[in-house]
Amino acid sequence: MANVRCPMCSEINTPDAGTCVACGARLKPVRSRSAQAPDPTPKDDQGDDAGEDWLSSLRLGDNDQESAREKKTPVEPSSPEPAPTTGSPDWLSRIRERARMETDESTDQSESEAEDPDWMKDLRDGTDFPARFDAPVETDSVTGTDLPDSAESSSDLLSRLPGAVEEPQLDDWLRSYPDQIFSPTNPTPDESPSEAFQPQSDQQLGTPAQDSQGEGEEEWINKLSAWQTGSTNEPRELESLPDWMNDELAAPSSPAGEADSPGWINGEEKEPSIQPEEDQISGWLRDVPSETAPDEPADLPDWLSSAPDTAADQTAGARDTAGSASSGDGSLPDWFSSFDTPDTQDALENGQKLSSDAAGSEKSYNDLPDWLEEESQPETLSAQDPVEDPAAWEPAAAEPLSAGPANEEPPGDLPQDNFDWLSQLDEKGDEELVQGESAPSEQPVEPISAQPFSAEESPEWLRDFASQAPAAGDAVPPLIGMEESEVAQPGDEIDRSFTSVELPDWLSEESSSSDAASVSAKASEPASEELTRADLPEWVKEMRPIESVIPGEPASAETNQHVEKAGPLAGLRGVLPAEEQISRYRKPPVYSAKLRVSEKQRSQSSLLDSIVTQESQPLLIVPERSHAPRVIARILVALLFLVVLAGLRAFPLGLQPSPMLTPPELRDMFNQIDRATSQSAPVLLAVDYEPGRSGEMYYASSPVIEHLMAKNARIVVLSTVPTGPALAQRLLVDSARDLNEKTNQIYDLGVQTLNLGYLPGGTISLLEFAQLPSRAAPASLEGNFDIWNQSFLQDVKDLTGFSQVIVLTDSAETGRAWVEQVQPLMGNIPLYMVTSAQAAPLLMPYVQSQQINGMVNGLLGGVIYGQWRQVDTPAGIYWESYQVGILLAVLLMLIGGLYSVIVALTKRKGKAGA
Amino acid sequence: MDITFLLELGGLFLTLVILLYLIFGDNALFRLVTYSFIGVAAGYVAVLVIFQVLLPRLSILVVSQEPLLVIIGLIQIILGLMLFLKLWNRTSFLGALPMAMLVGIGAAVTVGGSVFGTLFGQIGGTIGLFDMQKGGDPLMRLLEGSFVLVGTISTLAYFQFNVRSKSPLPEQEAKIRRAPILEVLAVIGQGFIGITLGAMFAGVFTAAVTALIERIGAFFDFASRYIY
Repeated sequence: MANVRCPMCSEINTPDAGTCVACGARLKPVRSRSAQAPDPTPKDDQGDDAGEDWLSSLRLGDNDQESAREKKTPVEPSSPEPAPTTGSPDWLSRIRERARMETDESTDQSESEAEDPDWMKDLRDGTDFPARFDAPVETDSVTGTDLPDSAESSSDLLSRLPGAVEEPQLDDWLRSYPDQIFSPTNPTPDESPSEAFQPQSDQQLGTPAQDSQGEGEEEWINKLSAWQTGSTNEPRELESLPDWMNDELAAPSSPAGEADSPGWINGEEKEPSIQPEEDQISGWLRDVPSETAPDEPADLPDWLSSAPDTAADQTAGARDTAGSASSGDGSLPDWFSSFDTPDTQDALENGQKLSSDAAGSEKSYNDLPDWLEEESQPETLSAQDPVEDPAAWEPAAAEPLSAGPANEEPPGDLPQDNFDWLSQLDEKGDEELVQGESAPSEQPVEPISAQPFSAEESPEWLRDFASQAPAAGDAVPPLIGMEESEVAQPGDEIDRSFTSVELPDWLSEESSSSDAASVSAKASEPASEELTRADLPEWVKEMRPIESVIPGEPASAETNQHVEKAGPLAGLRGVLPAEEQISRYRKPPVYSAKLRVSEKQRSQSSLLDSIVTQESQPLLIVPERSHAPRVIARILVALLFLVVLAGLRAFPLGLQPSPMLTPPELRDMFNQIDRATSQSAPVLLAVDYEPGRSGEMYYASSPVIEHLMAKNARIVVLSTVPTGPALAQRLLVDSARDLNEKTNQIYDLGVQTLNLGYLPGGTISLLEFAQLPSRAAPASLEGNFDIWNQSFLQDVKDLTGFSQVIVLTDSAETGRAWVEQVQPLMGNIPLYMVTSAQAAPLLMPYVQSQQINGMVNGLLGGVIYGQWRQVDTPAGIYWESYQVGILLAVLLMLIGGLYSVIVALTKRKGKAGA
Repeated sequence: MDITFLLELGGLFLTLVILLYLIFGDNALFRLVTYSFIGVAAGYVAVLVIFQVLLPRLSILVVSQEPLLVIIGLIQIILGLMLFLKLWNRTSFLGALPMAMLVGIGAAVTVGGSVFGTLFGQIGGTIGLFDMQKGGDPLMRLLEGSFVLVGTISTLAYFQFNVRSKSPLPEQEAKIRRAPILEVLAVIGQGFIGITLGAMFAGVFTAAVTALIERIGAFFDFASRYIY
């Protein structure tokens, strides 16, 4: 059995599930009371039979039928229909007669439309059926959530029926119904299908009726309500009921008279929880026609009057089923919706599609008043007791396909044609329909949801229903025109059978579009040219691949458009192009395996190879020599010098004789200084050495300074280095002290000396000082700005104002600056240098060139200068240490050199031996 | 206690710390003494410049009655302030002018002094060695002059690196050598340069030994003065 789809949430449930596993909604319809007490009267779900039954029952007033109907009166909303009764009422025959008269008189369509109720007019004007038929209907196979649409379609169908019901009269007897029954739940077109239709909801069963039928329907429904009320509680209101209803009410009521009343009437009193709309709708669908028709035959539509009398008996039994189907719609009376479409008839006959038709074609029950058309073959339909009301829970998904064409047929055609298609259908024979083979050109659209509910998968009750259908039903030609009937093609049916399969979105879209295209294409084809599609068993259909039913061919088939041009297969499409491949075969070229590399590339590759090779080779780590020997050697040398020099200082040996050398530059200097007197011009003494060389410079310059002090020469001190003035001051002090110690001569530094301080600007300032000393050094170190006006420097305007210039420097650059900047401006003024031993070699060329007139070179120069003065000088004290230290240094250098030579020779011998 | 004693004692301590460099190499005490000397020298220079250079010149600018001195003094002050603005990045460009003046004037003075004081002086001195009229043994003067001349020429020839390549081989592969005479003179000049550098090294070493002797003598002087 196929799975059952939940009418509420569309959830797929197992066939044996009673309620939905997702939402808990009831999947199977509730059995009516008649199920426990089968009515001996043959019943069928065909609306025509049911309609005839209840019409006849109303007419004859058969108490047995009434009692049987009472038993079938639905307690629950899902099965509100009472059991149909058999027999054709008189009023129905009168209606038919009148219909024939009206047909014969060729009543104008406009007149008939004027008599139609508004809801029928609205439905008649509807022209959207073809569109809805073409589009795939997303209808649940069980619930038929598309029921509002079917209601509309059925309304349209009804509207096309000429003279169906006279509006004023219907309004009269419906107006007696209380307003609260219909008004609260009057649905709007905007409501969703799920909201507008719930199979087991009484509220929504009645709402479509209001929409479609309009005021006229409300009017006669109100009347019916008034009659019901009067029959139960207020008899005085019976006066307002129609005569035929009064007659009916006046008849002796059976014990089941209360049960004979519609379920909705009973429900008002007994079951207030049930929505009154459903009861009322089902009530008037069941009872009203049977009671109103005799009194008002002129109000019945023509089509009703044109129906054969025999149909009333046949359709009475199927009224329950039809009424249940219409209850889902709610917009049509049960006797309207109970009439099945030709599709349904086919399905009933085939027995295979019955279950699906009943499940998914609730629209067909509502839309097509097939019971009228089926009156031509009422005998074939075997009324069956609707123990179960499949229409109560089965949707009418595919019914619009069959109902649509009927809407497009001109309303006046039906009466005029006098149901010729019924006769045509009879002529074609019942066998064709019974076999389930529907001609593509004639058979209307198969229900969309018919396929998922095959006979094997349908419920048991449905299979029973289907098994009985072929014997009872007869093929009913469609009310719809040929054009719409052609829309429903077997191929379309096959395609739609897979709509229950959950396909991807893209596939479903493509399928839907291709469906529409194929339907439209097939609709344009003449029916005679179509081939009858083979009828495959259901199990074979289920085994078919989905590609066989999905429209469109595989892309590969479209793309393979190769046409063979030669050979025996010339002209064929899709042949493998083996010949071309063979012709394209060639012997592969032979390429040389030797690599052609240019010299540049070869050199680059070798370079890269060498680089890579070097990277892969580990680097040789040369062990570093220890620094200990060097440190030890340095410490030993230092200690050696300290010990030797200190020892010689502490314990002079007297082994070193005084220097006997008489450098010429020193002799000239000594002679020049020796000629200086206190009356001569002052001596400019430039102290330009760093404090670090103050010891050496002291030993070298102290004999010269003492000599000047001994001669009482005026000394003007100047310095081009910042520390010069301080060093000069200390030099003067020490020299004056030494002079005082040696000769007891007092040299007044405050009177005989003048410290001009620091001369900023370096060598640049020397040029300025050489040109204008008073501007370069305007003040003394003490801050005296009047030094150049005092007697000390009164005669000094430039460098020629000094008697001699003595520069004390430890830097060759400073001495060269004096020579370069000052000496050219000194004229005949001698320039002497007292330098450090490290600057003497670089200044000696200036001495050789006579640019420097005399120079005292370090400690040696001081010692020599002291010897010439024949006084002890500090340089003389350290002379021995100096000499020993120099010899020690020379000795160490020689030892070091010899050690290096020995080590080098040893390594060379070692390498040679290795 | 005489301040001189403290000063001499401090001097001895600093001297011993410096001598530790001979044993331990660069150490913290050596750095401490070195940094102390630099700091003291910088402070002394700052004080000296302020009181010896700036204030006297400003006082001269104030008290001077000569407009020229005032103008010169103002220019000096302005240039000094502009040079002072080099401390900040945003105003450092203002110090470019005095710096350019210092560098330009200093280069001009140095070049002029080198040309006239050293180049011409040394040329004249070398030529003067051949003056036979000066006293002394003419032969010895000639030898001395010739020796000095050869030494000068050979040293200058050693610094002659301009040669002409006549080899067809590329410069990387061809062995470029100076002219034979220049090569000979260069070798002779290399000898003279070596002797000069040796003399300079000897002078430096001698100066260092003299300083060491002076420091050792300071110990003995301090000891003889305050201990013995």
